Amino acid sequence: MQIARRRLVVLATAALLGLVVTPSSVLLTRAQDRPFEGAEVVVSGPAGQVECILNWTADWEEETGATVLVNPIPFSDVDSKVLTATGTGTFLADVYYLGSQTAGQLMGAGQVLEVPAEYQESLGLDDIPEIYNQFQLSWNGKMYGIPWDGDMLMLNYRSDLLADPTFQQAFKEQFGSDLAAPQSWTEYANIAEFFSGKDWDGDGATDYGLVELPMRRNHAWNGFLSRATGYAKHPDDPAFFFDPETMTPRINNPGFVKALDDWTNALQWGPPDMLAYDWAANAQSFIGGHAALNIQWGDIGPMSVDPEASVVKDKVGFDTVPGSTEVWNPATDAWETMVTPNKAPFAGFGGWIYVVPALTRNADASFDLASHLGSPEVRLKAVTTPGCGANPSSLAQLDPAVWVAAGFSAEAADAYTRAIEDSLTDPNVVFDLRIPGIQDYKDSLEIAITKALSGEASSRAALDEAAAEWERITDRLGRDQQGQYYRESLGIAGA
Amino acid sequence: MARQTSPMLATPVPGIGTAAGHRVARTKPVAGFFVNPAAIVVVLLSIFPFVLSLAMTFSNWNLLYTGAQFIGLDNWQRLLGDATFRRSVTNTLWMTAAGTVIQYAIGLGLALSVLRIRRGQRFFRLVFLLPMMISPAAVGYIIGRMQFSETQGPINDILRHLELGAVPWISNPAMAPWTIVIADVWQWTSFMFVLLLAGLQSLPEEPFEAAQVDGASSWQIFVQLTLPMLMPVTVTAVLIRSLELFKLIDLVRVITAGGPGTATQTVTLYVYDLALNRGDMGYGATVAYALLILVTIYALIYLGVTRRSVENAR
Amino acid sequence: MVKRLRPIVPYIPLTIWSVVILFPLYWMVITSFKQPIDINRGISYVPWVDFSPSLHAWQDLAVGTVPVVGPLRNSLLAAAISSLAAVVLGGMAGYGLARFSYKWGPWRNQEIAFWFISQRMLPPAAAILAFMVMFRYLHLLDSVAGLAIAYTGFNLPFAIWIMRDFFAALPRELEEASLVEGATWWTTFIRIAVPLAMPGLAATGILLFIFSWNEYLFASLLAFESAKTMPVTIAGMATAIGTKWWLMSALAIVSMTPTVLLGLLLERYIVRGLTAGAIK
Repeated sequence: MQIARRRLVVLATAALLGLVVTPSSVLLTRAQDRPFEGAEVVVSGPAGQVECILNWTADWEEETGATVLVNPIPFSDVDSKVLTATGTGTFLADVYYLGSQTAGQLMGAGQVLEVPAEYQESLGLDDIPEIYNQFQLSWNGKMYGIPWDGDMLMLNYRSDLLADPTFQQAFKEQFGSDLAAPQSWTEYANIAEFFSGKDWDGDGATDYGLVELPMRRNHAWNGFLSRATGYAKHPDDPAFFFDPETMTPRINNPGFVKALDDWTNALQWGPPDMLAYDWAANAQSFIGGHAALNIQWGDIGPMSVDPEASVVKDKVGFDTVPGSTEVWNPATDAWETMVTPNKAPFAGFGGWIYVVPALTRNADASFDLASHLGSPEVRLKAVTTPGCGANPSSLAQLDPAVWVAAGFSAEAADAYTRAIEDSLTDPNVVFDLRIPGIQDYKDSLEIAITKALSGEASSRAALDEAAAEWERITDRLGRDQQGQYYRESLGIAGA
Repeated sequence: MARQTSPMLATPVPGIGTAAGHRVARTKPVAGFFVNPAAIVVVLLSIFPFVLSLAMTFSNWNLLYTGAQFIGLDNWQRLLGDATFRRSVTNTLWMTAAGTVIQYAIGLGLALSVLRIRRGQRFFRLVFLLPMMISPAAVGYIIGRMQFSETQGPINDILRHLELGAVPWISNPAMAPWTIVIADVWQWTSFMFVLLLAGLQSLPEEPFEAAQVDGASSWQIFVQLTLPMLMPVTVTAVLIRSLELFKLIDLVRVITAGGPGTATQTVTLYVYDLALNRGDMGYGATVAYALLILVTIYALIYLGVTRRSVENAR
Repeated sequence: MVKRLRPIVPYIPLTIWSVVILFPLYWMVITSFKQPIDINRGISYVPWVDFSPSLHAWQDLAVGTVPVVGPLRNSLLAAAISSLAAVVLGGMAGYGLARFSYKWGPWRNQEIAFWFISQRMLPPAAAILAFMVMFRYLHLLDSVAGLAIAYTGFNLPFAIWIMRDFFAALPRELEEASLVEGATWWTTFIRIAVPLAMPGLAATGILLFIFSWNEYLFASLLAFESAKTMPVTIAGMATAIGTKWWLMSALAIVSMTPTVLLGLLLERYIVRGLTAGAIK
């Protein structure tokens, strides 16, 4: 009798437990289906770019039950908004869509969260070039950023003009060499000189040999350094901006000075007010058909095939940025002549990435969304969508077929992808400066660059002034500490 | 304004002197009632920023990091050696002076002209108000950058068609500050126009009639009658406008970003860059305070110098 | 012959300045009808002749691809509330400074007035952080109320200075009569001084409205999503990958409209008001 009762109790308990457990297991399954039900994830970023992500969030919202909101900030205010929010501990967004340099500063200050291992898996990191992995997404060996955009400066040129037989003959007569995509800055200057001041498209307006980025606070830094690397980044030396041991700035060494001199001289073949050209004016000028050569990011490619904005569809060629046959070697303190021009591709700006700030309301949901956006599938779509501002960030995106599908001609797609891939994998590549105080260093160099370009000071004097300011900045921030950061960013061990 | 003793003072009120003649020297409680609400609002909104900003100048607070340290006068020392700061001060002073004078001159000229025409007054008054009403971002981008773009804008295009040659509005460091001044004049002459027009319309007629009877020339009338009698309006308008110009930032940020080099760098732009773009609040606040000191000195001198002419006019 | 020409002379500077003002505005209008390729290709002046006008920018605004209603509403509320509050409080303070003698410690009216105007001397970029902290504590961040409060503070000094001039210029006989009859200062203020200076109050109101409407820095940093204002939306058209001139122009035109309407309404007050104020 007792055994029967016990069995009854056991059965009853089992039944009860079954009743209790089953519904919660059902609940559990449902919760796993939509893990972030009711949550809200706000993504802040530059207006005109961040809205783009909404193209690819509907599915994610379905799956997770969360809602994605976008907070567009005027481009010139992004830094100030992020910094003031950080400084006062105010919530701005769950995910920041941010430039790599500002993001780097946040990483260095411990204001963003490290990407949890489980979210790193879906990002296709093996396919991302090492320099992005190391410099763009990580700080001090830890990964904080989710990939989205890669930034590499490249040469864009009017392939139709360079292929024109009449021009080719005239060019040969004038300069004695063949008209082809310039590999050195000398060739670049010759071509620019040749095409400048004429009206080769017959629209009644003068056209120019080149259009570049020399405006202060609008990429003078990138415009200059993408040129200077050829003169001052020696292939045997990993460092470029500073001496890695002493943190003495190198920006006023003869390599940099010559680069700035040559650039100042080249300005005459560009639009007379090029010093006032911001990014948009530069792009506008080239895809509006007014310039033959252009040094810029990979945005020009997709923009040039957009029939709504471009008059140069299928007329654009791509190559790596020219280099210099004369290279300054800081180790020997002397000039070296190279047989083939020394190219040192400059990954200027570093690219837009996603970071999750410490002030996020829901870290899991934020990382989930960010890693969804950073997945290879979404990034592939983004990179060919004009208006998204996403340039190639992985090798899979550099398959020409992708670009032909986006409207490039086969030839252009080939050249475009090859130019970027060659740049990314070049051992002499230089990544943008990524140590604390970057904005201070940047501003003082840009002031110097624009002073020299506008004729207010000689290249030598301007760069000396900037170097002195760099020393003051380094001292103020702590020379030893800066040295450590710099050496880490170069991937070299140091004292 | 005549200093008459008011009948309000005829009835003796204890504790009140008549030294200030034209004002009732009673200070509580009604008088307080008028001024206190505004004063309270201002105090509440200004005391914390004032004190915090001052405290920041003695610290090395950076927005990126939590926690700041007291560093004494280091920021102020840095200020003394800062070439960009010095340049921004001269730029600001120069642009403020040029901007205010030009706006005043044009505004006065327009106001005088409007009063002399018989038809179309309303039209002109309305049109001249328009520029003030446009958002500064729009003025900066569309008028500053687009219009003055040498190769992509209409102004140089027109100049070229008129065979007058293109002007390097933004790319030339000597010209760029003028472009900023022009943009500011374009937008804010309206303000001067409105105030000066009203001032002119309110001037009494007798002195002018008497002068004309005496055979004074228009120029003499203008210099010896109009201008002096217009002093109070002039003083207020110029003060307000110059105070705003000292803080010029919106136009510069959009049109030249302070360049080329530091040709158009203004103090407030420098503060913005330092404090909000680089996070260097300590030094940014120091530069801001330096400007505050400069402007205060300017305002005190200005009001002191102009006090007599205002009183004469009254 | 000279005499016949003389009436024309004043028209010359007026016409020149009108052209100076209207040409960029015309340019802004036609830009709102241009397409990206029109801008890139070159400079075009006349619609249908140099380029074919398109409604795409205006369509974007109408359909809501670009948010307009929210920012407009926010700007309107913040500007209206702050200018009204500043006119009321500033008017009162201006009257006080014109009619009473104050003594705050060593400060008399002159110093008090100077203290008010000195509020406009500190660059806002330095004060913004303190405001962020204050507003966070008071839960005023990203709210129209917060902006309205901040703008009231900005506008008060200006309102006080101008209104002080107005009230000081009013003939005192009417006020004195009212006081002698036993009315309080407040009643005298409301019944006599304010109506006489009402046009001036209206004029100050619209000028303050314009200042608040166009304010940029605080709007950009103290508001996040819900309280975004028009100037920030307009600036947002300048993106990292190119300025959307057509949208910016259209937005700027939309943004001008309320202030222009307000100006039209109060225009006769502005001039008459400042006249009646008899700033001497």
